[in-house]
Amino acid sequence: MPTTASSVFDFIERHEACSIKRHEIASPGFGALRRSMGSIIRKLRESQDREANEISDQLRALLFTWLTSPVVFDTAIRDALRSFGEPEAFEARWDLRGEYKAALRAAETLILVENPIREQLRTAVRELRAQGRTFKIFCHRKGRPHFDSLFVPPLDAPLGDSVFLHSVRDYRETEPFGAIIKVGPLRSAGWGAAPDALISAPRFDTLVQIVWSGCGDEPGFGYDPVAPPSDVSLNPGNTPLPNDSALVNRATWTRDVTRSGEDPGADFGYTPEEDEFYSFREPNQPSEKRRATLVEIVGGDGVLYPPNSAILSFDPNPHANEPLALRLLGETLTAGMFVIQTLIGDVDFGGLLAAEGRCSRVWKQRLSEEMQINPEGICRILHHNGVTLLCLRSCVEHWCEPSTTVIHAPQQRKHFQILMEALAIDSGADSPVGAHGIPWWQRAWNEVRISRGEAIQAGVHGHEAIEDQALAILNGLLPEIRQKADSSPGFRLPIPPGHDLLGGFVFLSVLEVEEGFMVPEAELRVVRDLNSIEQWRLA
Amino acid sequence: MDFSDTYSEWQPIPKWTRFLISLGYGWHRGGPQTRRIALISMPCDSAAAGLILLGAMIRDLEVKEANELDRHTMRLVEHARQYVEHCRRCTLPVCDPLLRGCGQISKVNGSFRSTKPQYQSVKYSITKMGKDPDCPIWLLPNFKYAGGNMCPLIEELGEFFIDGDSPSQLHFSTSGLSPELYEQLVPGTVILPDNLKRSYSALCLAGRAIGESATREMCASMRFRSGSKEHGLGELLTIQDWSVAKVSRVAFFNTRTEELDRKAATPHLVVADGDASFLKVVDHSEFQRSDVVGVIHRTMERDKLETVGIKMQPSQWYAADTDRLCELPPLPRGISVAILRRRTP
Repeated sequence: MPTTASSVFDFIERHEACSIKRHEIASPGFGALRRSMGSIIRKLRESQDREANEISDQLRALLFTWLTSPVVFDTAIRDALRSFGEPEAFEARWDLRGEYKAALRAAETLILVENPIREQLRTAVRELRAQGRTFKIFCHRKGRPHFDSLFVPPLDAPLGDSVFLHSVRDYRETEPFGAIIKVGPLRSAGWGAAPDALISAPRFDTLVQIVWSGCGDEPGFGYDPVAPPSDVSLNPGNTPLPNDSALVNRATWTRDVTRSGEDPGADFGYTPEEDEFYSFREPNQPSEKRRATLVEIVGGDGVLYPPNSAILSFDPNPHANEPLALRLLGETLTAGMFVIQTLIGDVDFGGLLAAEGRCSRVWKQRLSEEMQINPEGICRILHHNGVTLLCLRSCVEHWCEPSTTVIHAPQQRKHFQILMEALAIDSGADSPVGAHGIPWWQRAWNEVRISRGEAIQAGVHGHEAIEDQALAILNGLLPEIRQKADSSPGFRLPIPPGHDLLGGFVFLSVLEVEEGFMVPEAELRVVRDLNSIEQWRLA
Repeated sequence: MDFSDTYSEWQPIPKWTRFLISLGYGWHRGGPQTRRIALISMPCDSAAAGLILLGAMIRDLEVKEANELDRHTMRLVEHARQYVEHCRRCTLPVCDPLLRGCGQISKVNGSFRSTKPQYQSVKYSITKMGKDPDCPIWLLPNFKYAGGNMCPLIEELGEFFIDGDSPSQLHFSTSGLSPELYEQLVPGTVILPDNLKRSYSALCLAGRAIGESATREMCASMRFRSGSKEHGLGELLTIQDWSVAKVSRVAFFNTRTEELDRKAATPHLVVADGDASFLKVVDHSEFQRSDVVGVIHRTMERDKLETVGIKMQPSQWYAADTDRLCELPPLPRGISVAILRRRTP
């Protein structure tokens, strides 16, 4: 049964007052880590070196993950930091004065204590359960494991799917309930983002907010286009508030702040300038990047599009008037539909499609064997040769996964080349170099690029005439498209012979649409893994 | 009277529903010089746009002039002329006025229907324009029993209507809309019986950007019951093809295709369902003389909310209409309303 407007209004009518119970938590170890990382990020952002900028974006992504999720304080934090390099070498290379070492030291001390955010979260959930109240947790989909890991039988009942809300759509579709839990500041976009509706259209009476000290809520959060931005601490509200142009009648909010823990390193507490969510709001070099909206697809991948793009897409709903059409992202193109990438360009595309995955099957098998025999060894070689990625091991495991519509592989060409060299694949076993005139690793890389839709970048995609032709061809393939869409969340269709266009279409099922990214132009419309995409998320 | 929301159990009509109907009922048209733009912000998705229009439609049922009889003959003649001079000769497989350079907006089908019940299955094809101004159109019915090639007198054209449209006025022997439900929704309303048999196009529902079916389904899921009679909001609105009613008193604007369901005069009031629909309608050339009421829900992404919010900022062209705000019935908790009025020179 879908949520009815009447049930929402009934709830609002019965709950004149709502409250925010904000728990601000300080920790000496985590505070030291934040300050050290903050100063490294700041320093590297000022550098003209592109690699320094990349590292600062990666550090920023790590810091924001830790600030907005109830992560376990374990060796993973230290290891993630250490993956940037040996302390002496890293500091010398980037002209640091002990900040990196301080960050590592702080990360080391964290291993000995439990994350106080987790303690508070556990207490909050246990209290709500003891009171018999229904509650929800609003968090990013990727943050969910951190919450799940806290509630393990026999001590606590697991949380279950129905407890979690991950998007504004989830919130829109949920029935009214008792309380909502949010870890991190209230922000409308970027890291730890939540819908403004939590404040402007509450379907609960209590918001339990657990946040690190110094992380301020976004001013004006709870935006209503009709009324001025609501300040939850000042809104007097249960009577209509006439102002110049609006009439408003909304719930009253009260805020109750509890502070716990101490951070001796922060003399007077954090100032707004020190709030990482303000200082590092945008990734590096914003002038070279543009706003983008993420389309999350299966297999832990995503594609970034310019906001309000009209995207060739397929709606599998049998009642849809126009199953194949250009749709507006987030407006008429929503989760459950398929985005369609038109792979045109290299004239020989048909041939490439026929050989799809041939190289990838070879190197993936070889990599899987290595990972079974000596995972540490292959990771060490890759790291030593220059694949300096965070969480390298999980990245390598991701590359081992079989191809879907996309071949999972390193994002950068040089990393891919290092990987192929490390695997020492005998190209002659497959086909001689001379047969294609290019090295084996290069052919394998081309395969990866095409699977990501990079042909689009070089080709004439976006040209209206091409899209019209593509649409006409797709309409002729509709029965086949429906059949494939029923059985697979991602598939390819070659363009049948006899058309002016050569190539094919890749159908990618949309899991979620999410705004709030700043991305280099070259990264638009290309399939990337979500971990890489995180670095471009706005704070 | 009972009410059911999204197929839930029957209940008395809730406060929020009554508020929206009364908002529509009380919407006073100020004339093109005082165009108004309003935004209703809801805490959840709903059929609020349809409810506002329902109120406005009930108001129109009280107004003697709320019909299209004056324009009807002119519309038929314009339709016939466009067909004979342009559309009949057009060789394009798909209508494209820009490509053709014909100066029309969209193609017409060149056929009429009769309001007489005995001829309801007869289609009258337009054959040519008459030379006598008293008999402007020649018609040929597709059944012999309806007569041969004919040229009705101008006063007889009232019995015909454009095929696919609703008749401007039903035949005297045909029953019109049932007034009971409308009267119960707005107690004290005095509905004119003549209006129940007449179509009107001064009110318009602009559907959701995702497509007509989304708005239609939302309206259909909201139901009213009085005794044994039960109707969905979509039926009560009498939008063409949404209801079995033979007359239509609310036009529909498809936001995705940007097409109105009829060729008629500019609507006085357009109610837009959703943010994208509101943004499109408010700047659309067709509706620059219409009042526009946008209905949005706040469970949307910030970017979308802000885009709508910017549109509702007072400017050199529009000022806040505080007078109108003060006239509104008490707001149910959860609803916000803003109204702007075009500044008069």
